[in-house]
Amino acid sequence: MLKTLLTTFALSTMLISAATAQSMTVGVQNLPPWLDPGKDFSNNGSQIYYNTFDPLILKDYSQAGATFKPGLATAWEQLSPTEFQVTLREGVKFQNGDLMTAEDVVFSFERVLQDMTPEYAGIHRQFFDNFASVEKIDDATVKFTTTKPEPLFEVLLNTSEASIVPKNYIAGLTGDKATIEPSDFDAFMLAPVGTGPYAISSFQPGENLVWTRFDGYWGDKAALEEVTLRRIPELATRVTALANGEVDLITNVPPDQLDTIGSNPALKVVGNVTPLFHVIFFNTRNPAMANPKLRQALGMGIDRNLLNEALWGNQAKVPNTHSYEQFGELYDTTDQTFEYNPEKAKELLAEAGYDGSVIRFDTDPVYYTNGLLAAQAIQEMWAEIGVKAEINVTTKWTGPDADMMVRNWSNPMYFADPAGSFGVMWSPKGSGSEMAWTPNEAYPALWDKFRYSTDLAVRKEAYSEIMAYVKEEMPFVVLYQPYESYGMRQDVTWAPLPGHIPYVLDFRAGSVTVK
Amino acid sequence: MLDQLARRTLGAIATLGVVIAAVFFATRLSGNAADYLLPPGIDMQTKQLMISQMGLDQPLLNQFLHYLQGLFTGDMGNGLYERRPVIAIYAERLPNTLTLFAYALTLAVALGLPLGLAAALNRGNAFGAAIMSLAFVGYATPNFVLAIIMILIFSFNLHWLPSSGSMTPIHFLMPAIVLAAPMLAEIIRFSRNALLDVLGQDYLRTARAKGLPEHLVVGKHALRNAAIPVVTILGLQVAGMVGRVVIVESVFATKGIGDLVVYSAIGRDYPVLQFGVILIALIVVTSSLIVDYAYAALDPRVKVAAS
Repeated sequence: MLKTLLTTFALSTMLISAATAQSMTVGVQNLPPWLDPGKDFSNNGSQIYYNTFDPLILKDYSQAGATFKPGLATAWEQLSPTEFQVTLREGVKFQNGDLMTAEDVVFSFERVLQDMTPEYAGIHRQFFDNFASVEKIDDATVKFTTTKPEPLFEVLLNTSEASIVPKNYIAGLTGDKATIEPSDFDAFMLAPVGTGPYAISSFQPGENLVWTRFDGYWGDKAALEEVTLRRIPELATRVTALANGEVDLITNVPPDQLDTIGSNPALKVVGNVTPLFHVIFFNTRNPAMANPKLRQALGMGIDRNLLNEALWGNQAKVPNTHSYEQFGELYDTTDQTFEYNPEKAKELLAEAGYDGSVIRFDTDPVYYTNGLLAAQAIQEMWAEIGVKAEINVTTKWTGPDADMMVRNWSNPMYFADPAGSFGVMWSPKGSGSEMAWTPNEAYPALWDKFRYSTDLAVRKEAYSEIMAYVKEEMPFVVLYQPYESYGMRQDVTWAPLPGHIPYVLDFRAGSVTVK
Repeated sequence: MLDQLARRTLGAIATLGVVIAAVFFATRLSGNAADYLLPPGIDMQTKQLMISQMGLDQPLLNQFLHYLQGLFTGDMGNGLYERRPVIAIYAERLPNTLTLFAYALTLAVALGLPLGLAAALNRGNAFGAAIMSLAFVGYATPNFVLAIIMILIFSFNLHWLPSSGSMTPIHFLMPAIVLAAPMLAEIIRFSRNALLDVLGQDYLRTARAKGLPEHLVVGKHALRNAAIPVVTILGLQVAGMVGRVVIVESVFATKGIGDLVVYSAIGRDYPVLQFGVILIALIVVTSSLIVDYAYAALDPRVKVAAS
């Protein structure tokens, strides 16, 4: 009796989630506490924005290289090295019904370029530092002007941070309906509206989010009627929810769980190599780590292929240098910036006069998949070349601490150019340089040559020079590009697309089907 | 002269006062929020701007006064992550935790008392021994182990129950059982022992001797006197439940305040953490106070002894 009752009860609850093939529930490890594409470069946020917002320029995300496609702009033209003009698509509607105008486009950029909140100021510095102004030419034309020549107009206008948001809607959220106040931006973070194929119909910060198909979308209508994201932080619970039919797709499946899911006939695992590097970096300003030869030795003491084999089942990708396939023409396959050479490492240690003192290696217990295991393996590898390391496990971000020596970190690709990955961290003003590395006086000029040249060959050559300098200085070591796996039911067809930045859950037309 | 209950009430208020001050300084001592809540690798300039926007660059005393002022005006500030009022965040989550507590308490009392009674009346035979063995197993099993075993059996293998979430009442069943288990075990043990103790008393022999039927002897004279230690246990268990709910909510992904407090502690979200600790203190202090009042209701001597 009890059994029948429970079964009926359970079936009825389960059928709710699987009732219509037009909907899907996703169990995510983490959800962002707020949403605004213009403020955010977090991994959590990256999952969300592409479904709800459009940038001016889209691209073919099914391939790694950069083939740009019309987005909210139907045409664009570089008028001069510092000027770029776009023609806006007509009749585009925001999810609240407002028509997108040139004012919305100008406002979307002005909130960032005029540093309207600290986060916009941060995005301004990290993404749009070169942008001087954005102006409306006429109702269908907007012009961008930069200070220095800009080779990356298309790349930058394609970023999620360059998504277009509705000005009038934001102004009307709080206080005076006609003016923009800081509280309007706070309110927008909880009730975001864009032009994308899915409207966010419900959002409980950090808990759940519901996407509903936006029928007024200008392009191909969304693949699904409704998608629900539920935060399920515990891995075991997430895997069980998938096996139990409570969710159709789960994120952040670590390598040691692939068999558990793969061996269940109702489920499958899909993944890809993510455009993100797990790195370790040194605090070169700490006297103990100041000698470049010591850092070179530590870099050469790490057998990255062994890490890949042991921790990632050889599914991760070990690069020779700081470069991704997504860079297209700029993808660097020739430089050998990082290599494993324990013999040379020992010689370098002797030259550096390493006295056997202990090197502290900081790591978060869980933040990076396999982060702690990799730290322990590196500790052993360093012991092989005669270096003593101790592991300091802490949830604190110790990057800028004066007593930091070595720690792990990730360098994601924020946009598909070395400037959007290496540059964000290791350019003269990058956050890594700011924390832990003081490059020489020639470096800023070398960087500018790479960053602002509009000649591809010049940029390529300059990047090689930069990598040669990195090899000499060794402020960081790239470990690998992790392999990111997703578990899903057999009747779901979905895969992360190689053209996206890391972690994007792309459920647009053609990207997902549920039987 | 103050009587016992008034003193208890004042004590409860003083406890809350200490918690309110301690939580503020303890959270600050645990580390700078900016080192935990901003994304790794944010540039220094943005970090500084964020710190000043969150008011964390103010002198500690100013922050404390602001916080005290907020307590009295009901403005508990905004969460550092979610940037919305702390009260709104808890308003979303408190109902789930209270539902879970209510289910667990009901389950523990509704099953624990009859089972304890049965174990006392059947002491020495197999039925009584079986109940007590069950109680010991329940008491000795760590709740996360029980939680995972239940998920494995009822969700992973049998597919009877949902493993996580808080969408429907059925989602609360497994977490409530796990939360109730140690309390159920305690109630069985204590009600059995208390009842055995009382059953041997002279006044029960007197009651039987004057010809009262057995159900009245046990139900009226024995149970009421055995109730006092059981009420004590209930009071202590509510405090224990607050501790366990943290684990239970995170295993079952129940969106309650336990889960919220854990994440705000890891992320050093001071305003959310502060309010959570105060709320939990309030729940514990109130339940002890209710227990004190219940003593007085059950046993008139408590009041008499005090005055």
